[in-house]
Amino acid sequence: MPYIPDSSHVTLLATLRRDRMLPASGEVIPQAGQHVEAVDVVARAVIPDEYRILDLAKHLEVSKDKTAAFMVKQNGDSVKKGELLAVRKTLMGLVVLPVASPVDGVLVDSGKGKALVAAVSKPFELRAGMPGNVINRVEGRGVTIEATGALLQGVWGNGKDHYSVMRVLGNGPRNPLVADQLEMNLRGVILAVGTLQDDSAFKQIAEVGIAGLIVGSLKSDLLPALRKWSIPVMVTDGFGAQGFSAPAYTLLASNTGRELWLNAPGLNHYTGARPEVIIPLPTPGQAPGVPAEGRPLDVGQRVRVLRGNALGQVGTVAALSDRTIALPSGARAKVALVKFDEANLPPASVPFANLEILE
Amino acid sequence: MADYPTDTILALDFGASNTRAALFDVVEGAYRFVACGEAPSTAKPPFLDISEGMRHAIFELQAVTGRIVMDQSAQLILPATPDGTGIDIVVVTSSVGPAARALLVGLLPEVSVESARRLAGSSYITVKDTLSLGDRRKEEKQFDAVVNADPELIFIAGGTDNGSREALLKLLDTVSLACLLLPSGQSPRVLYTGNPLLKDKVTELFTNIGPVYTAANIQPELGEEVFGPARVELAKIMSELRLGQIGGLQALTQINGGGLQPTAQAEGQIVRYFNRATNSSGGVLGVNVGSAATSIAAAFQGELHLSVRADLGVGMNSGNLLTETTVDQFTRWLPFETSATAVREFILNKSVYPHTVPAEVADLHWEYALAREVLRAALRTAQARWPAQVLGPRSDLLPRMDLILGSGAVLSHAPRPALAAMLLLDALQPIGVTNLLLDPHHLLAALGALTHTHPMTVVQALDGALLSLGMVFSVVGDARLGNVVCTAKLVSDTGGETTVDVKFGSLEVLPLPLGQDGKLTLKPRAGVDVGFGPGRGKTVSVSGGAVGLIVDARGRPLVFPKAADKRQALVADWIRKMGGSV
Repeated sequence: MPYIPDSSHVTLLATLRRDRMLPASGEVIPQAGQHVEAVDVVARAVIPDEYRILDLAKHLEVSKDKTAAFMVKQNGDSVKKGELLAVRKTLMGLVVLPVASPVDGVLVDSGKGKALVAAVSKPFELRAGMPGNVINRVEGRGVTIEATGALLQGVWGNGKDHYSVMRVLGNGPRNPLVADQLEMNLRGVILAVGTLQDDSAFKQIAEVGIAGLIVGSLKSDLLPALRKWSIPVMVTDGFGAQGFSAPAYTLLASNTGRELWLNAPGLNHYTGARPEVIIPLPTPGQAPGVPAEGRPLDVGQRVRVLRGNALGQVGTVAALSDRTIALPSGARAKVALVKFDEANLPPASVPFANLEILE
Repeated sequence: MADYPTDTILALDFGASNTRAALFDVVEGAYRFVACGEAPSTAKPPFLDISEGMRHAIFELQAVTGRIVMDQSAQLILPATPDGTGIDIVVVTSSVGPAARALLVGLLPEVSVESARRLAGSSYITVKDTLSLGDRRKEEKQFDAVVNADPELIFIAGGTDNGSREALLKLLDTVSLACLLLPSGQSPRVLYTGNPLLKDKVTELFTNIGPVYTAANIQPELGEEVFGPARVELAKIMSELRLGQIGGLQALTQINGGGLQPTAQAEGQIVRYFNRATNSSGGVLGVNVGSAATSIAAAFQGELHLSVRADLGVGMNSGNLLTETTVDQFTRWLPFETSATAVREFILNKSVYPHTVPAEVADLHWEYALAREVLRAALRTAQARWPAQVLGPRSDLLPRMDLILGSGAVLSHAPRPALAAMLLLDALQPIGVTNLLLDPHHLLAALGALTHTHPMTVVQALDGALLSLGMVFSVVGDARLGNVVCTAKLVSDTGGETTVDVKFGSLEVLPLPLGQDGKLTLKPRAGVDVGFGPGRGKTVSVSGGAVGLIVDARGRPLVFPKAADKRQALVADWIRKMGGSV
């Protein structure tokens, strides 16, 4: 019976498709088949900053069911701050009871004796994120963009995204960032570094003004501050000092100086949303395939160890047990014999559950 | 024709991490648990459909039993054929899926809102916000609160029978207006359980917003809570939400006639069944420690009190523990030194790789320290909702429980039964005399789901479905660490005799294997209570368990030395006494 572990993509070249959908209904700009650049706006929507509720019945001095007759604006109309929403004149026009909008926005509803005004300072604009071709257009919601390139997935993101040039700092996958490495010419660059452990380096990053951060691993104490950062941050491997896995580092190092899309939503086990890096790469020949998903664990596969003494090590599956064995902890589990890439590490039996396939 | 039911039953339980398929059948005239298969759940990407995990679990079940329940095209064979192929009944329970977002609306925060919160807390629900007359926010802010909550469920519980009406309706006007603008664009389900005189008006107000469900007032008189009818409606709503969210569930429930029970509710039925069956003054406690959720079901005098922490587990929701406990609370369970940073990193890594297992001994201690603190946090939530009369004068201690049932992968997959027992003892800290039972095959939910439709099956199948870990005699009283607080003498029916001087701060295991009985004589020191009153000794009949008989003299609440080295040495001693290594 096959065992299907989780997988992480460290893919050098693949065809990648990403949906770019509005959180609310709006206007979709490009047509299907059109090429878009990363910074192009593909959709926009009116998303209110806040709502204001006005008691029409009270201001107009009528009962709730009589306010409709005095409306100047109708539901869905745009309104400016101070513009009349409703007005009632009494005593042959001598007494005027006006109700004006307190904000710029849209009159959403005016039933039940109340007016609901959505305050909108500027429309929400959704950018393409990565250059590519629009292969699907969903009216009112957004588009699907297709591109070819490299893909690196992570496990933690702070909810931001940015497209910019990436540079790898340091000379190894486990290299910790130190403050001395940070120079002002890194301003506007997405930085990739093995691990971030040092508080002073962390402070220095903020001063340099980088555009994003990709780290293999992270000291957990830094998380609260990183959550509040306005630039995207992605952790590829986990928390601690283990740094990048060797394939992740190789992928980034071989693309240093290229532009990439760092899209760092939080990890969601239910929807599958996870932070990722997409590095657009040209493919002059036949388009590569899409990344494989949900493949069963098998001999010959590249895997990464997620837990235990060999945490973060990458290797190849040499054999699979067909029955459970007792682990040193006493727990019983099916194991894979993994031959590690690092020559000085002996092969080890690793529980299936502690492996992820590197696709 | 047989005069007893002979249906073959397949029970499927879908958890956040694991899917289980269990087979029940009639063996020598009585229902028995036959075997079970388990596979990783596939509700998550890339599958987004529970069917794949279910098929794998059933494959394993078929491999173990040699019974065929699924055909070549992976369809369940219904009904069973005379040659033993197939099944007759499918029972489905599930805890998989994100917690449902709920908005609670009531009149008074300490009254109707609190009742609604207690009831919502008995299911896989996260309360995103509450609105009540005690809410001092401006109407606009209340409006924003509803929009930001983006509720899947609006739970309204306002006013006693014949109580205030206008104030609640004013609040509901705001809520219904805000519902027009929910970011998800989905229609929330509305559950009204307040003043019955408002039922029609509330239904009219929300009828264009989403499906409206009504149930009897959960607080018809001030201080009187009636949860039964509302709980039925809530289960219906949760089932509908799950059927819409989880791929493959809808098709599966069409096979079994639409039946889907939340795992926690189903397990709660069994806890109540045990409590009613034992008819004792003590309670029965069932705990399920899962990857995404932790549930605590307690029954006292036949009444079930169910509490679900849908946001806290030992896997994907373990990260939430960081806001519920301190590093010191966590490290006290470890027999070695570690740092606060290491604790945080272990918990965060577990939340991103929830299915990983401890392969090394030290890693096992980390895993079970996490489980202890998750269970303790869930117990704190549950205890806060129990009625004062069951808590007794010492609300810092667990009320007397005759029976504790442990479920969930961290318990059922414990490398040794003694480790599961230790997790239960450390986290729950029972007092008096308690029987510990383990659900090694994860059958409690299935049996709970069968209690109404197949009660005889439950009665018969319970025999052999659970593993008795052993009886526990817990010492309550003050003493200096190392002082003898009690003498325990065990005489087994096979003639073996063991006498132990039990010292304060120690954990003693007396050998009495499963299937053996004996007599235990306990003689406590003056002022020390081993379950029979302060200073009172007794000779009692005892039955063996997978661990043996446990005398827990570590104090209630558990007493730890302040110095780290002494604490670690003591914890190491407890682990060794329970057969573990450090």
